[in-house]
Amino acid sequence: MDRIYRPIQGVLLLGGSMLGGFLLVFSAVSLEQPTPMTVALGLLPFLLAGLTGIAKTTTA
Amino acid sequence: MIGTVGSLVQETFKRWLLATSLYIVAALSASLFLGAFLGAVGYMLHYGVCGTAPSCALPNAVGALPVGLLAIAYAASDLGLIRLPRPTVMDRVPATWWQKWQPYKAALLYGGALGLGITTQITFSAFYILCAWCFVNGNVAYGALLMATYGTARAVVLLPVSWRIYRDAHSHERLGRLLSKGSVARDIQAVLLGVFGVELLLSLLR
Repeated sequence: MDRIYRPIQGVLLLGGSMLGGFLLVFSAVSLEQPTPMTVALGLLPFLLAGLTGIAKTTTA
Repeated sequence: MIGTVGSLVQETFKRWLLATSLYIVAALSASLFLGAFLGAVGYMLHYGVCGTAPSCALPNAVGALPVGLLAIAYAASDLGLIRLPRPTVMDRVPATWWQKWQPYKAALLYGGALGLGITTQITFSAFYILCAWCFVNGNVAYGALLMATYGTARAVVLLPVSWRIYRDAHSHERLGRLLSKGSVARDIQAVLLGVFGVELLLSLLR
């Protein structure tokens, strides 16, 4: 069973890392003068969206 | 959804995987559509009123200020400090869909309905703030990307979680343990929501 479960974990981890990396680069490049505040403001909604989506799993 | 689509693990792997995949695609599409729709409405409303002058660039303080204040207020609400309304279209998606169209059509319908987010009780109020932020930004692509992140995270996590819970016996205890972590998840999300609100307000002061 782990033979099936582990690839799913791998795909999720890889997908999440790629999305996170893309968003980080996208935020930095799309801003003329990125500052910690503007980068954080660009990333926080996405972090919040991901976390809220995952947290919904804990509701029936 | 863990209790409906997830429990198919106990039947056949193929049925579970196909139903879950359909659920994920439908949920992701619905969330993406919601974000794009809110961005488009925000764009049309803003530029319809303000015009295309450089001073009308989005997001602006007029939109960001209420979103920042609402984020802090709803963070306090999630932490149980104050009570705020949580409007929804429906209280919950009908359980009869599962009996009527099981499993594939039902998985599509549940995915589409739950991907929109407002067809069930909103436990995590960050959802409202994300919708408001899509509207205030007035950008179709940004709205679609932001809500797609929500939809993807919400739907894809069903795969490993349902697999872990239902692959063998003791599934009820495992499901109970997961659901008992809801308050912890809400607290973490509330803190992050509060940080977002404060940061948004601070960005207006600069």
